[in-house]
Amino acid sequence: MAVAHGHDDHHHGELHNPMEPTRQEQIVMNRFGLWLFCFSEVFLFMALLAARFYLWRDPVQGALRPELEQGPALIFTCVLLVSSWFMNRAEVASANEDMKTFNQSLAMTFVMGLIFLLGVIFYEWGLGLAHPHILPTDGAFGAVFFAMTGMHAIHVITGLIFVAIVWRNGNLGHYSREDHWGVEACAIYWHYVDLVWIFFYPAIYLIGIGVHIPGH
Amino acid sequence: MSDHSHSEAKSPVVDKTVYRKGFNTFIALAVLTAIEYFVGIYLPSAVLLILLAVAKAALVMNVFMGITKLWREGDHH
Repeated sequence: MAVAHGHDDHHHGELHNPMEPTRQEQIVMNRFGLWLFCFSEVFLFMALLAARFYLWRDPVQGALRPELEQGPALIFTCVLLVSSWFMNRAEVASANEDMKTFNQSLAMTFVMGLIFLLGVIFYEWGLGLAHPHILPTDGAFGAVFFAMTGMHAIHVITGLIFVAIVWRNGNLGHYSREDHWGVEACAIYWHYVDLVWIFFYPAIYLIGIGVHIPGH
Repeated sequence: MSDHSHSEAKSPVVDKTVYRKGFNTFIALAVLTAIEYFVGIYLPSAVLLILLAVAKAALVMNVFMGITKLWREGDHH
């Protein structure tokens, strides 16, 4: 987990090879690489959004959407938003070596992310319900809904693993005021997951005319 | 590396104002989400909803993700 560790060569008293990048230069390159990775993933999520706007459409009525319950979707969206705030607190705390706030905030980020994930799996996908609102077999509505929420959920799971690793490394004292790249990388990734949901939430639940799915 | 006592020992007095920017952004995002919800339910306008999403995304990218660090901190080297 090279990305999650925060070793600074200067701390070890080693002579710096001028041919090799300094830790700060390395962080600048790491940051650029992570943003490139995020940008490459935009194409994947844009493809899913394109499928949504192309397939959930009627030539006469215009944009459509499956008629889903609004309340729980709004609550889960707010939960993810709160998790983003806690992640920001954790990052600021690590930059200020406020380890108590770092620990609490990162733990809250994990809990909120887990609530969001379980909410999607057991409520939105209906795995905990006797009569699910929508199934993958419900034509274009079901296929696109599960593709979008499924792809996002996989990223939430990855983010939760990342948060857990960074929390552990933070407790082992791997981050300092000068070098907390692991926390910053985790924060960028977690906010990126939130960023994707910012576009997915209105696309799935708000835009278009609600259509009742037969058999539900 | 250090053990668990390392993190417990580090509890310096921190200026709580450093957290304010994140909190203010969180409140702005919450307000925009509430507006988004009411627009979606009572005034279904796709254009308005997309604009609200873009505004929220700009806030997240600028404040939470720190996109400006890409060129600000890159310039020092």
